[in-house]
Amino acid sequence: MTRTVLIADDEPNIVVSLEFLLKREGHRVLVARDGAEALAMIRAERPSLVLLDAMMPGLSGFDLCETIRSDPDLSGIRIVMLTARSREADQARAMGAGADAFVAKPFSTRDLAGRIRELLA
Amino acid sequence: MSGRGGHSAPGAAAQDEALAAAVHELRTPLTAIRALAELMQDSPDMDPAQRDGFLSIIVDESARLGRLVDGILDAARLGSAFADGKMAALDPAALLRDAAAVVRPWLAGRGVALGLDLAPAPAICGDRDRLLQVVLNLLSNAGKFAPEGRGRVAAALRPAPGGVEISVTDNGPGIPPAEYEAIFLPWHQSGARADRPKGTGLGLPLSRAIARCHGGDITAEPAPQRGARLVLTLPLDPAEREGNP
Repeated sequence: MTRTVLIADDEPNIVVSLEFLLKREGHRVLVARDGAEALAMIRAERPSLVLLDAMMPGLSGFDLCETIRSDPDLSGIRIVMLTARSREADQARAMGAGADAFVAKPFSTRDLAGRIRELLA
Repeated sequence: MSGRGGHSAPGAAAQDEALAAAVHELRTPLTAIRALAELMQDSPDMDPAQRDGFLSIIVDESARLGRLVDGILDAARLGSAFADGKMAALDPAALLRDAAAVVRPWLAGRGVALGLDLAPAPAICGDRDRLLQVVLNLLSNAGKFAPEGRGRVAAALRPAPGGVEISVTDNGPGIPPAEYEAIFLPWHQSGARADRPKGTGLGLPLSRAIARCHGGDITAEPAPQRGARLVLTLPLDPAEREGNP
């Protein structure tokens, strides 16, 4: 079933890979380059799932995750946090901010696709 | 953040921080390489143009990884670079001229004019290769930020109290005063601005560490007009100090 998924990451080559992966999974894909752009798109498009880079400039993925979770109008959106910092503290922060999953970079596209399928099931 | 007054060589804590930052930075190109390679492996029917695009990215990101590894190795060598008998008396004007000769063709290709202003200055003591690396970094950094086609980089050598001062000024967007210290942190705000030129994120931190290992420093200062100005200070050669009390 086609769902709308938003990618929020400022690394263009990682976006290329995520966009291909999600389209191959049959989803409609939106791309935001920073947290503020992502929030505006989330409010306008209400995606089923967002992939958030934790370390985006400006509004970080952690901040954006908290903002989504504190907004009742955005309830039900699945959030996967991606981060190149794999420290336990970052994982705890992501989960504390309300993320549904935490994926460390570099990730396996196969594992990530599996997590996304589970979350959208 | 290190204070302006702290001139110590990079300590263990700073090196740990740099290592943690390095690991973080290495993961970004690795992520793209792994993801794209897996996608190609799992998509045998991929459009050839798409496959070529992915391969180009993999090559570019591999090169980026190589540059990052070089930078990390440079950082790791810092501690031993000054104990192997490479310190010698140097003419700072020759150092600046040599660095200018290296970067001038690249700057010209970008449409950036390089001006040198060399006042008579006393000899300094240092590791020539390391200091050349520092001056090259300052010049190439200025060249990256100067506007393509109408850029200007001005490098000046002046005697300074107890040593010499090499300043490099460009006509790029400049550095906000609030970031005068932060730009010397490894991978400071890497990618925070989409229009920011991409580097290894280690050039200025390494350059400052090398300058400090020589008893000097690098600081950011307000440019006389729009643009950035970085100033490298290096102390006199001890023989010069004895001759010029």
